[in-house]
Amino acid sequence: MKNTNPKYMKFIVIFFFLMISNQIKAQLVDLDLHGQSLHDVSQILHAQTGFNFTIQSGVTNARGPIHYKCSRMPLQKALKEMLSEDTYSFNIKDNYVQIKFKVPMGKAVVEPVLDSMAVYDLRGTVVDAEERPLAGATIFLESSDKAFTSNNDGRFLVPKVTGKDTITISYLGYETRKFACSERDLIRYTLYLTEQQLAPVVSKGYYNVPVDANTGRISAIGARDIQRQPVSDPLMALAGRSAGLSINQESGISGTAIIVSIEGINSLANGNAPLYIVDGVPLAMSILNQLENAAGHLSSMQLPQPESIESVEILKDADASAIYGSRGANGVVLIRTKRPKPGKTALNVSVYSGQGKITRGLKLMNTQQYLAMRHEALQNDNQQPGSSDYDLTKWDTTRYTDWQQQFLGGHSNIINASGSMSGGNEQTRFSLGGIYRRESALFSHDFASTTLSTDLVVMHTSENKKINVDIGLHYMNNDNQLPISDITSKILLAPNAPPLFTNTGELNWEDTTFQNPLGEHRQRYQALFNHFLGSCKLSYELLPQLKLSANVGYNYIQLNEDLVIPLNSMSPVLSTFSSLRSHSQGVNAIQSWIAEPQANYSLKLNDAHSFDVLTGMTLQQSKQHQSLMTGKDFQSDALVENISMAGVKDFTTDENLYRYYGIYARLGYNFKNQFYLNFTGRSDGSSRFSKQRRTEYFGSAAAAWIFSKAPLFQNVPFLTFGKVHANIGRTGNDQFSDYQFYDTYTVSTGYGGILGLERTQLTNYLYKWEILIKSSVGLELCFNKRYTIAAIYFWNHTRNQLVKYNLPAVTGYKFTTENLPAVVQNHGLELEWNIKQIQSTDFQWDHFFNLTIPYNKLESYPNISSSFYSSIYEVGQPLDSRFMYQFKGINPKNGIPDFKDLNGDNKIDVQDRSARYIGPQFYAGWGNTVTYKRLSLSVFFQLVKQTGYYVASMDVPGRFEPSGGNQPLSDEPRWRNPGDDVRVQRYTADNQEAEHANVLLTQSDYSIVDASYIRLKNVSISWELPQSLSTRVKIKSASLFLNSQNLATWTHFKGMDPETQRYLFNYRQPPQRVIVVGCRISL
Amino acid sequence: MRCLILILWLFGGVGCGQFLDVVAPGSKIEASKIYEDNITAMMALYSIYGSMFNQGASPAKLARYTGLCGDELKLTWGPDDEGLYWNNISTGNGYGTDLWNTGYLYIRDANDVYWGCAGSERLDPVIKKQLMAEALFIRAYWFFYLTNLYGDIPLPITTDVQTNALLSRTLQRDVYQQIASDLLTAQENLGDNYIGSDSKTISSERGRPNKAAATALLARVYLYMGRYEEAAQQASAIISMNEMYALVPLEQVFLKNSKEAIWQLMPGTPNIMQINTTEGNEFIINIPPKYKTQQALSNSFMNAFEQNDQRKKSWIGSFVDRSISPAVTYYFPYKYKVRLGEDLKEYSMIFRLSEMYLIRAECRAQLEDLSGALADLNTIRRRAGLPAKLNNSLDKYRLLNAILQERQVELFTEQGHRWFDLKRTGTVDAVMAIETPAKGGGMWNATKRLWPIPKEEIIQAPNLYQNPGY
Repeated sequence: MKNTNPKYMKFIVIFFFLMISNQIKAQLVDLDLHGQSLHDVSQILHAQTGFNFTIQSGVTNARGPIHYKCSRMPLQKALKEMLSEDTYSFNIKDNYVQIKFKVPMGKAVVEPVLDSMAVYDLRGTVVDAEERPLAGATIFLESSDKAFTSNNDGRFLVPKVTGKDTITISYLGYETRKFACSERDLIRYTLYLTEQQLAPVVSKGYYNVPVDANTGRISAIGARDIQRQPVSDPLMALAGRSAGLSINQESGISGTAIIVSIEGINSLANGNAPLYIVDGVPLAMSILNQLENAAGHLSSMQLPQPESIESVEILKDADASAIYGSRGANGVVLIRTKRPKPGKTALNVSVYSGQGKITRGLKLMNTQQYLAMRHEALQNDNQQPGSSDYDLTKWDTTRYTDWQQQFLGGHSNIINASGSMSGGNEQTRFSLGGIYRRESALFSHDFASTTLSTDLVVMHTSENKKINVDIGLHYMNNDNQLPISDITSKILLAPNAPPLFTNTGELNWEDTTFQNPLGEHRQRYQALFNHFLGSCKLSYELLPQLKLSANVGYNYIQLNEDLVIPLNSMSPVLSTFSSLRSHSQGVNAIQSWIAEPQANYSLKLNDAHSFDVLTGMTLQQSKQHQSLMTGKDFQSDALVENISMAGVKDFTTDENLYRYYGIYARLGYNFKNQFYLNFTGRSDGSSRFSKQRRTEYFGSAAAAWIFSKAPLFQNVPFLTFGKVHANIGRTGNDQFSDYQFYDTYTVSTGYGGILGLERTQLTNYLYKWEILIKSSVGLELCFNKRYTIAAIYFWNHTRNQLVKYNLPAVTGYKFTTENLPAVVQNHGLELEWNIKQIQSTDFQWDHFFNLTIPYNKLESYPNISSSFYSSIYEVGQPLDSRFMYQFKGINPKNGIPDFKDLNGDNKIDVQDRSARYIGPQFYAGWGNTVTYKRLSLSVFFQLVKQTGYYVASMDVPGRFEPSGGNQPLSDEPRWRNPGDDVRVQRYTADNQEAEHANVLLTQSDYSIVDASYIRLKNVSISWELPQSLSTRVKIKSASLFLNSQNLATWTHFKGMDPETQRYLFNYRQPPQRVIVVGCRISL
Repeated sequence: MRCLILILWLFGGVGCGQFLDVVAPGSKIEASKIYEDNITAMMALYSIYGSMFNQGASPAKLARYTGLCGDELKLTWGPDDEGLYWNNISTGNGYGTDLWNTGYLYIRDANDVYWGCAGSERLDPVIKKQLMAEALFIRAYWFFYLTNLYGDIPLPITTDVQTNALLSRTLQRDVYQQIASDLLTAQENLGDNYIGSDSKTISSERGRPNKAAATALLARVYLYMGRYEEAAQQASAIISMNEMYALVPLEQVFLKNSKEAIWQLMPGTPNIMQINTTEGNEFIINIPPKYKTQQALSNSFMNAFEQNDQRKKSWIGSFVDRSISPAVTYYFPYKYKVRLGEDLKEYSMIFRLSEMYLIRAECRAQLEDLSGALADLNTIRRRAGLPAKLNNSLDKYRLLNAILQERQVELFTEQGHRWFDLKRTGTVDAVMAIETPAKGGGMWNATKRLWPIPKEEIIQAPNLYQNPGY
């Protein structure tokens, strides 16, 4: 980290000062009431001021509905105006507000004057925000250390209190509140649901805990942040939003798979993808496409659509992920879809539309510069243009086409419409929604991805609140039409290459000298996804402390692919080869279900000690079926659409079954809300292992101490909250193929008309899970209630690496699967801060920042040199390393690149490569949300400091290539004459040595460059229509918004885009800069 | 009631162990069931023939690698084969690895079939005997090729991976002993007739090795071992079966089920590419070689033909590459005429009668029966349209040379005969000392007779050591 660019640091420092320079102003409130009850008002005021309200019984009914409007009004004044002073009185002390009937003068004489020392019995009722009594709430009297419980009507009695006493009322799922016993009237003590209040709970999958009591740290990304981003893949919306979470696009083509890793790469040979769980149902995230297409790997993250997501939680540490046992090693991404809220039936419609363009391009040579290069190249080689140098001898040398502009200069069209209806009462709620989205491709609007999806959620609670049902059904259909390959690589066509079309509008093949890139657009690829996800959660409260629940889910994802290659998509040279026509159809479907019964028991021994016990079981099955039909040798292009007309047909099919069974438990311990312990454990069995090795145990232990509650820290000024936490645990990884332990034969080429059977693999019955030992320590601080800072240091080791173990070929097998004592280490620092910069009535400014400094290395691998991985990984180096040649310089004599001969054998070969790291040094996300009255602006930056891969062209500069050959412009001087001491190789048209050296150059550290970038990832502006206006047009609310993605990028990277660069793949379509405008209306 | 629900819930999971017992998917068959059934046992054997036809060690590949390495073929294009062509084979990946790995793969499969059948009591005894004999034959066939390419080789004869991984190299002499003993067993258990794909009934297709195939290989092995009497005996056994085997006109030799064929390798099933033979598919040059890694017949080979040798007309094709100037003419092996075709006309010839005559001729010459040797040699020459060599013109040494030369022009590009002949007759150093520099490979060195064992293999197998010179 020594090379941290001071520029980034400057940004950070400036904003740090900005945020602490503000102080809370007087308690100003902003109200616009249309007949709300006093309890509603108190809730609004609580949200705006953080003050706790107690309202005397009967006051709400007596005051009735309130119509009132004010802005930036001091709280006291607002209350005065709302409540007639003759009838009511209110008291504001510290941050408590008490509202009661005004005691008539006469009565005051009768009643004893409130004496702080007087002893009396306190009677009250505990209610929720909707005035419903809460039975079983705990009322704790601090002076006597005694606890009392409210009865079925929410009533309670605390004997012998004085006016100086305070009581604390707590209730599961509600915010615990403290009240002063200064009023002996029958008071209604209102508790608010925790999730609506300042201290929300955090979901750890199988259980929830209050954020303060969390023994680890979980990053959560809310619906607002996701929906501000006009992306089709929800994973894309997570980029930069959480520390420890790395998200990369492989290319800018819609539908391309996203590479996600949480806290680094853990496994050498097996999957590194996190576990995705939507409403309790694990998603099958394997790559499903079997056929070639421009996107490469297609993302199977099709459900849920961004609009349907309520929140995404990232479980990183052992404390949170160990309960997922064998599946939790790479972290868990918990996605919850939106749930309806009770109330009047609401109709929400949101529509947006916009365009995308590429973020960055290259500066390429024009015709003049290109021809100069070609002539210099020929001159360097002492050659004259030959008959196959079409660019010089056959093509018009005065022609100029900016191919980049031609192929990538266009824009994509995006339209996204979604609607939902929700409503119901406290008992039964529903929501029904639908989404339509169409996104056309950049290079041609004929190619597009169209998505239709629908969601139905139904929730029901029994009258006694003991039975809860929650059912969610989601269906999605995505039709993605793509060309067969990414046209981006074709921007390197010679700038004087012939026009794409002839005068008559036909594709131009220029007398077969030109490989027209648009030919491929006649090759039709279609991916059709069908995805269904259903979840059902049932819970039953057997005893007040014991809750049973069951989670059942079903997930079906099917991809149908269709690839048609007619002969007219190829150069006329090939027109006689009817065998080149082909039509392939692939089907790949995964069907899975999960059933998870669970029991939850809470035990409160006394006021100091309480326990939460959870135990449950998982049964899961996933069945994959894939088939691929290929037809070749069609007699005519007219027949190619019909696969049955193929002269040669081939059909393959395969299926996999995965079953999984686990028992898990969790024990949480809370000591005086100050000290927490959390233990989780899981025993797993998976069908991916043989009977002998099927069961494995996973678990974690974690502790947290809220030191700010300790007497020592209680008087520290500014410190609102302080917590340290630490955890350690073991999780596993079973992301490898099914049936590996099964001794099987599979169909192979046979003989004499009968198929053959060949052995699938050498079976090792004894391999088992990869084990990941995770540990982390963290610190969370909150100052002045507004500045929250969290820092985490994590230290993870993957042991028991399940790898291919090479065997001598004499055995007839190349390798077998084996656990090796190789260790991969990931450690790093994660920092998150969150600041409520300004919180005034009209103006709010929130600010958050996260930073990850990751470090990864292969700690040990016994005998790596004789293994399958000897040319992929090196001990002591990060797993992201590549074996590369070491560039020594350009030979001044001949202008050809020279490389270091590491083993000194006087030749440059694969032995002379060494591991070089290509990857991030740190990455960060920085966001600001500013709200002024109805206008809201959100700006989000993504910062990545990294090295990347870049070569100008895979072809040696100066050579004519029918499919490329142009070069980016370079300022650096190149070799021109013997003796030139430069860093850029010579131009050459046909020099074997130079060409060979160029191949090495593309695999050398010469091509490792700085690919750091700061990207203005998201800018979102929205404006809400004034209430008066929306009421007039009879809608609840309406807002207009402008969202944009990847608006600007600052980088020194020389290639197209620093995010989509990949080793040996330099020209893929960069991510798009998308700007959309739209509106959201609630009826 | 509440307690009951709780108990049911808590213990509902017990018995879920069975839940994890998944059966093999439909696309795969459990190994334990393969040799319980006649069809699947046969399919395991057919898989070997299928992959011998189209994978790493096809007949065309054997011919190409040995041809480039020796003096039969020249490189037209393709840096991939330069090392091989220049007799400068690297121990890394490539050709050396190909044949080694694939050869041992076939041997593993043959061992699987042999021991799988041996341990099974459910198979039809007739089929069981047939499959085991063919498995031994295949094993012997590949041991033969491996020892001739690499010298002393490890000799896995069981299916025990642990043991096989630790094998050291067996002396070539002992490898031949094993081959001969396997072949004698195979000979005993194979029938005179060719059988069909049900492994029982007689077939007109000469695609499955029969007793004569084992005999032919045995004749070759005895010849290589210098056991001339036994070799001649085995060759005679086949030559005497006039009903079954006969020399046919040159144009008909390589047709499927030609009367000259002792064993032919048929295309694998399915044959999507419609290949008849890998030789036909890979050797015939019909586009400029730069578009396709191909090889042509070497100049020294083209000069080896006597005048009026009809084989030069009949079995050699030419292609004029006009894409470069001046145009270049390439000559290529044209024993097989079909590149691709749905209608199967040709099968790859593995053993044929002509070789038996030449083996017997050589053995007779070695045993001083010069007239007998000459008779056999002239039988082959007569078919090629050449005049008979006369008795008084040749001594033993010259006769052996004439036979070697005859083998060169008769058996060219048929799975490496030429390369092996050069080596076993000791003429390799003299020939290659001229050829290698001419090919651009620099100095010839006697250690280059043997190919290197793949580098990976030396690392993986603790008891293997490299051939000298690598």
